[in-house]
Amino acid sequence: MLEILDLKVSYGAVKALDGVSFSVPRGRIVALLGANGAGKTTAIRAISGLAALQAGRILLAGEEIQGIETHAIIRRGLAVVPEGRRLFANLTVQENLLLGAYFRKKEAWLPDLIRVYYLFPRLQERRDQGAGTLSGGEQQMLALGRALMSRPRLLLLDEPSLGLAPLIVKEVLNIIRQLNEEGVTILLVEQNAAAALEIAHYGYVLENGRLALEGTGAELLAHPHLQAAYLGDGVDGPET
Amino acid sequence: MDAITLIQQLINGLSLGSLYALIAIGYTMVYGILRLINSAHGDLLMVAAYIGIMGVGLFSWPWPVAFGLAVGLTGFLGVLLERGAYRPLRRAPRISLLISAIAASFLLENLALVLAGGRAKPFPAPAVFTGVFQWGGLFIPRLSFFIPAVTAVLLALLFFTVYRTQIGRAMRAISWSLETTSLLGINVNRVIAFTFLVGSLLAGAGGLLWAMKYPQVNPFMGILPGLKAFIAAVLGGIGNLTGAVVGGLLLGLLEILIVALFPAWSGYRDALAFGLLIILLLVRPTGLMGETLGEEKL
Repeated sequence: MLEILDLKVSYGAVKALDGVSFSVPRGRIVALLGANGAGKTTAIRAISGLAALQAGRILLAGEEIQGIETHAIIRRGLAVVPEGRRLFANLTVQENLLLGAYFRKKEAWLPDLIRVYYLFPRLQERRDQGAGTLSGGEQQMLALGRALMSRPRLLLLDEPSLGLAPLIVKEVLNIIRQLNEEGVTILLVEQNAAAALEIAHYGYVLENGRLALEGTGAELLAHPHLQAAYLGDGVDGPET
Repeated sequence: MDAITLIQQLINGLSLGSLYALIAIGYTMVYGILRLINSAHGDLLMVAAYIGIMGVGLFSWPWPVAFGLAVGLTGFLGVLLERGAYRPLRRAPRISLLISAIAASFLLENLALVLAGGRAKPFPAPAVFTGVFQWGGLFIPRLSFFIPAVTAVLLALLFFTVYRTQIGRAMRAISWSLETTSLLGINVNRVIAFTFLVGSLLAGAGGLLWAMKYPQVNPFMGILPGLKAFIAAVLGGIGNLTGAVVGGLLLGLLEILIVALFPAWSGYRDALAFGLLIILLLVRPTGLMGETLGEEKL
């Protein structure tokens, strides 16, 4: 579904990504792990066309998408839940959701709205409330719901567990797994390696803009290096 | 001041305030989205007025055609301005954008000066809009009813668009975060162009109404109403649509009533408005209905 080939991105003299390649096969959950500043968010920004590439290719469903404008990439079936949710706090819950389906017709998105409210009943209760008034967990649900409104083929999640209580993290992970079982391919970017590897089929570990490790969830969980670096305190994830 | 004079002045204030509101909307919408004081906005009034003169006076078209064309072309010009003067600078420091807006304003004024000459031209107001209502001791120009009525209709359309349609939601979303809006597959350039279109259409309508109210059309006629509308937008809380309307009405009423109460001060009318701006910026820079800043703007 997604193929990243030798991706290089720099901010000035800083090499954020220095020749990274990975792939997200159709129907899978792939985790991209790493500490703060390892280049995870840069990868998401590059894929969604927000960061300019220095080199490399990005293939979405077999077609090159590097250099295309962000909105056009999204319309090819990509949805992004950005780091920190990035909700429109000046809009209501429902308005946030409707914007997620901006380029679709009402007949097409109506079932998705119903499905989002079914998945997240709390959002329906608060549909006319300002998105800024939601709790952290509810905001994450809304960010997820907003992304689902475009009925994406590939979902990019940037740190969905960030700032959430462990119980809520579990709930979010369950929903991600459920979405995956319904056929959505997922790239999960996480600092919280233990949580991400619980549901991921395969994982990559980024360190200073390069891939340091890769393997199945179980392999990575058992890997001594990863254990030492990221898996100190279980589901809560490491403090940085 | 007796009751009749008071009513008369209130209606005058309402009609002037409506015009300010109509123009202030354009400032506030563009500011909300790009954080730009579009100083060329006032000059759009002048452009609309000249096109109106051309249509009604020069070519003797029926006024609905001439006015429709004037408003439409003014809207189109607003889009062109964004395309030519602002979009290429979207990633530049905000001060460059402001300078570009000032340049655009001078360009429009001097273009008009070259094309139409510096001498003021009378605006040939169609008969529908002229005349006076007489009712008891009350004398009210018909235009003073038309202006608030037209404004009310246009504002209703505007608020419906902004609060009830997808493109309106996208406009509000962009004012919060442009990048996130693009991440939803929304072509932000198109939404921004639409914002300029709407603001400039309103300015076009405002320009025609203004030219009928003060029928001296010259290349610099847009400056003062533009500045006043800017004050109105700041007064209401720039970036806030309702604020722009409230600010416009308030400023219009204030100007008229002060002059009505203290006729000797009438020469200081503009000084009063600008004095208000200074005090406002010192005391309450976010205006009456100050907006909450979007995450990218803090």
